[in-house]
Amino acid sequence: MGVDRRLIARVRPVRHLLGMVVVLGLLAGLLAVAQASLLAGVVDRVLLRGAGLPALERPAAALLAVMLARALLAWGSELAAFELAARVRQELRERLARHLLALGPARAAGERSGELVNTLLEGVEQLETYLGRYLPQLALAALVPLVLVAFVFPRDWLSGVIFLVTLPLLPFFMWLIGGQASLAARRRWAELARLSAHFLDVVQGLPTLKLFGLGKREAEVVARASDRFRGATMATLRVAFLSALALELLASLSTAVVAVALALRLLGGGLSFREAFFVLLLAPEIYQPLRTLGSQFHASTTGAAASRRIFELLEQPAPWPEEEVAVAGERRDPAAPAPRGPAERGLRSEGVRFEAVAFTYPGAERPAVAGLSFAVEPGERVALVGPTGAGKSTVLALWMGFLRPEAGGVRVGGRRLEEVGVAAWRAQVALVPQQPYLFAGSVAENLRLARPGAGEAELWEALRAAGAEEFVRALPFGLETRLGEEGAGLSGGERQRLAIARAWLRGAPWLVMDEPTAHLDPESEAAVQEALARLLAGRGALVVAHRLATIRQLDRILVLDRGRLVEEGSHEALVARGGLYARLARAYVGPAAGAAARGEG
Amino acid sequence: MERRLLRRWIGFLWPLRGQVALGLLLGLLTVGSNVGLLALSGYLIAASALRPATILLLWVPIVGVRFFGIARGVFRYLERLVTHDATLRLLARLRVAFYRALEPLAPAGLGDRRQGDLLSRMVQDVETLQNLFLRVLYPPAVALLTLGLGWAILAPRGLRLALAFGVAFLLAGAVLPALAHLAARRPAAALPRARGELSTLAVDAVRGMTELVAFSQEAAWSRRLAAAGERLIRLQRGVRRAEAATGALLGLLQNLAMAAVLLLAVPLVRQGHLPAAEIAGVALAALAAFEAVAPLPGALAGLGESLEASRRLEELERATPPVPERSSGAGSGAAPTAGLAGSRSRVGPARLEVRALRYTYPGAARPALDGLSLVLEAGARVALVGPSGSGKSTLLDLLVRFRDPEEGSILLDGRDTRALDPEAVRSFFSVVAQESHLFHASLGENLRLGNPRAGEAELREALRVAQLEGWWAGLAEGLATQVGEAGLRLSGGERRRVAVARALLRPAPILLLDEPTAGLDALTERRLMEALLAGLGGRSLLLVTHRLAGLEAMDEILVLARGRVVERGRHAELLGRRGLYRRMWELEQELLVEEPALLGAPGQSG
Repeated sequence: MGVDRRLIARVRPVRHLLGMVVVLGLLAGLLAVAQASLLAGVVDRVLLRGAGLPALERPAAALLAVMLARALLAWGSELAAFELAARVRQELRERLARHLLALGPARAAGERSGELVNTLLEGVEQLETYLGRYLPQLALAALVPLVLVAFVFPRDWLSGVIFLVTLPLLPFFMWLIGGQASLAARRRWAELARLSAHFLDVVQGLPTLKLFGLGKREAEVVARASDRFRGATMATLRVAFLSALALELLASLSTAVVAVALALRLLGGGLSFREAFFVLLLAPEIYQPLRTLGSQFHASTTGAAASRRIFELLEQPAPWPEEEVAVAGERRDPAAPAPRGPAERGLRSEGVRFEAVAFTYPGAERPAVAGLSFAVEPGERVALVGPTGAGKSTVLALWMGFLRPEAGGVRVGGRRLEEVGVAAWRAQVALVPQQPYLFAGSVAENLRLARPGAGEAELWEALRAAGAEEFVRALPFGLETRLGEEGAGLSGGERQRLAIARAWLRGAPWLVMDEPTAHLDPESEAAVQEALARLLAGRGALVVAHRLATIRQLDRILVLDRGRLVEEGSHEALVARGGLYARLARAYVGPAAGAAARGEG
Repeated sequence: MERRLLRRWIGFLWPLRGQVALGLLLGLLTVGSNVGLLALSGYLIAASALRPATILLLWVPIVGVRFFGIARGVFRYLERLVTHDATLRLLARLRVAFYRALEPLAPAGLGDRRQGDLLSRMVQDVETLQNLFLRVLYPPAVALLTLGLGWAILAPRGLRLALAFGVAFLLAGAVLPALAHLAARRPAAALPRARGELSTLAVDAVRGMTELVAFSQEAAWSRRLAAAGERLIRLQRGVRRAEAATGALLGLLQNLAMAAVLLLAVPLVRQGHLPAAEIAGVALAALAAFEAVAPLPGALAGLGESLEASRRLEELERATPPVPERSSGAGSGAAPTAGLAGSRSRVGPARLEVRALRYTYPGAARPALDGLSLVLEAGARVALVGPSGSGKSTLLDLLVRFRDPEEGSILLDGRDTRALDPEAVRSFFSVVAQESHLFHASLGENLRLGNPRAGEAELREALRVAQLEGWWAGLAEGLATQVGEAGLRLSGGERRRVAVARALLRPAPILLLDEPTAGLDALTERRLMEALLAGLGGRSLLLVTHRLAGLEAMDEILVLARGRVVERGRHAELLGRRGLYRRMWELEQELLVEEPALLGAPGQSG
């Protein structure tokens, strides 16, 4: 029932709105007192003095005015509450997005992407009710009943005492049952996130399910998952609604008790009707703020669970201080992706140096990379080779600054990466990942990611260099053709060439590539190799390579095995040496010879 | 249009009618208890003030006040449980209905529908629609019952009281929500789309993170996301403004109704038509009955959102599946496996014949397949090679009936597949597609998709053939190892090989392998192909590949270019012919030749 302190900190900038909501609520409470008083007066005159309508004109007019004013206050406070929640949500969503990106691909890969997306969307939306309704109501529930009771005491102290005794019981019950409910709400949140991840998984895997004849049957799995979800939610609700039951029961039972007590004392003559009716009219108003709070309790626990998940993500340490990444990235003129400050000149003249770098993934038993030292001179093209799991991708991630070494360091241009700034360094590197991601948007938008200000001529030049001009021209809308989330409609080779065009546009002195020719048929592979050759010219490069055709374009080979550098040198030297590389390289020839023997045999 | 949609959703509710009726009754009892509590309390105090002859006259109201004071909370609790349970049951039905609508469309019928959008649809639209009952249909029904209750209380005491109450009730319950609905209609209708946009950006941010970070687009992308969030909030603000105004006006009408009933009762009291003690009671009854109106503006505002969501859902349901679900007429019953459920696959050899297939993608200028024919005898091995875009994957789609050809036919054991149910056709094949999906489950569960009844020994054998024996032996949790979302905890090569192992486990007569070794290092690739060919048993193999090495073992090789077979024959014949196959082979050899000694063939190093 307590509000997350981290969330309170986010509310601070908009506390004037919170204050406004509370003040408007208090004013509305005072108007409720006035309304009760006027009503009690009217009924009193009719009942005991036999007054007719003409005598009631003035109190009726006053009543009307009070009612109008109440409506106005309610309207204003709703709008202020929405703004309060909207601003915090907006700020949190942007911060969360920034932080996820600061965690980087290597770290965020540990989280299920469906769950991350869900937190970014649903999680933040859930805060709407929490901040916009629950939080202001929490303040009102604490203040309004006391103010109203203060008006009851002078008229009838006994009812005042009944109110004062029963009021604290409401939050007590909320707290008592709320603990249970919030525990269950956390479960429900986890279930919802899992369910949405499950859905995405099923949708993505639908073709596969159908191939195995399970497409139809999966509907039952979906039904079962939904049913489990219903079970979990109903268990939450049975408890969560108990607190609402306690609240309702207390509030209406107290009203009943007060009414009966008032009636008995009226009979005894110790009380005037006007005072008694006034107190009776106020009774529902006194309990209302707490009842409203109770009705929002369920939503509030969901919101609290969501905010916990959000802050859990926000508190994961990013490999680099966020300001460093963002500020350096911002400062860069988008039209000139490779600025030439003194640091950048250093980058061109001194190269990249890994010094006894070690890195272990959280939860992994052995380091992915350990004691790794090597240097790449400017303009030098280096191949990174090794069996699966040797740590090649980790080296790329360290090179890109997606990960930060836990021991040793990466030096670029003679300075530690920390000094250069990771964003300034990344501006010097063009990356072609193993499976290039194409974003929702046109071909042009996808290309401009690498150089936001690029003109159309530059885009075509890059496409030409990447051997992608022909197929882009053949697309229905050319550069403006919209690409699907998974780059629908493009072959692997075409997507790869778009990624190469992107790297070309980047115009950076360094190039980093991951198995650039994987998944390609020979014709595309030849086209990609040509594009690669053009891209490599005049740049330093680190290329994870599985194919000799790629290796041949590079100057030197680093052979990794289990996170360590085991061999280094030219293709010829390494083959002559007869070590791991020679074994890997020989394998390329294998199938032809082996299968030929069997085919002929 | 809207009426038809509503009828549809009422159809969804029909199986839950018992719960719905119970919920409505409990809803009325809850509001009724509130009315009873306040009205009787007012009456009790007024009657007491008038000093009745004997206190016994007050017994009934005293007991009534106490009863309603307790009943209200209990009724409300039960009502909420019943209605929420009904809502969640509805949600489950909606989810399944959505899945069932989606299933026949995947993958060919989904076209370029974006995944982030799909996610948004599934979670958001379906969850919006679950509110159709609790938020949209239920409150008006309870309000209507309450209107009747209020009328029943007030009309006998004075028609004018009942009329004043009824008019205010209808203004607050019908006119006000209608106005609010009009005011919020545009932003409410635009909400799902705005959510979809935001969701697309979020999915892109998470999945395309490598590129975004590498290109230092963190700040720019966060801003785009924030801008989309801002647009969403702007729409929500529009909705909320209307809501706030209706909420305030509703409170006003409630108070006015009470004041009106009170003032109208004054002459009735003076004329003696109404006992004076009842004046407080009638006013409070009017006030309390308005409790049922409170959720109505929300109900109509929710209606806009629900209609929009159900329209989008229906759009999906009405999309034509690329392949008719049930076989058209002819041999549906005669097919040996047609009636069998899902994962059952056909055992025993089968002959596949493809005759003059032609297929053009919608909107494409030229056909992807243009007169392709081939025969795969039982137990034979045929390879399909060709540059990307030559139609290899299209052929696989047609074979498994993800699409149907515009011309030509596919025969399985002499029977045209169009006469068979698509599921029956798929039972002939075991496939490793280019996008073979691993599910977020354990390794064992993923493998058993191939054969639910496979024992551990069979799984191990499949893993051995797929060159995963060593890898599997090193897994601490063995078959229980979780592969992660889309198998992403495994490397690309491991994912590929798990897909191969899964396909091997499926006891279908024809293996369709689309680049089974893509992403593998050369050593593993070679071993996998050797083990695979050795382990075929009596099964036939159709291998789609761009790797020509190893094709010597094939009975026939078809070379595809631009949707046509340009060459066919065995490896040695094709090499002798000096056509496209030869060029591709030379290119591949050239890729390997840095070190002529390794190859045993003259290489031209560039």
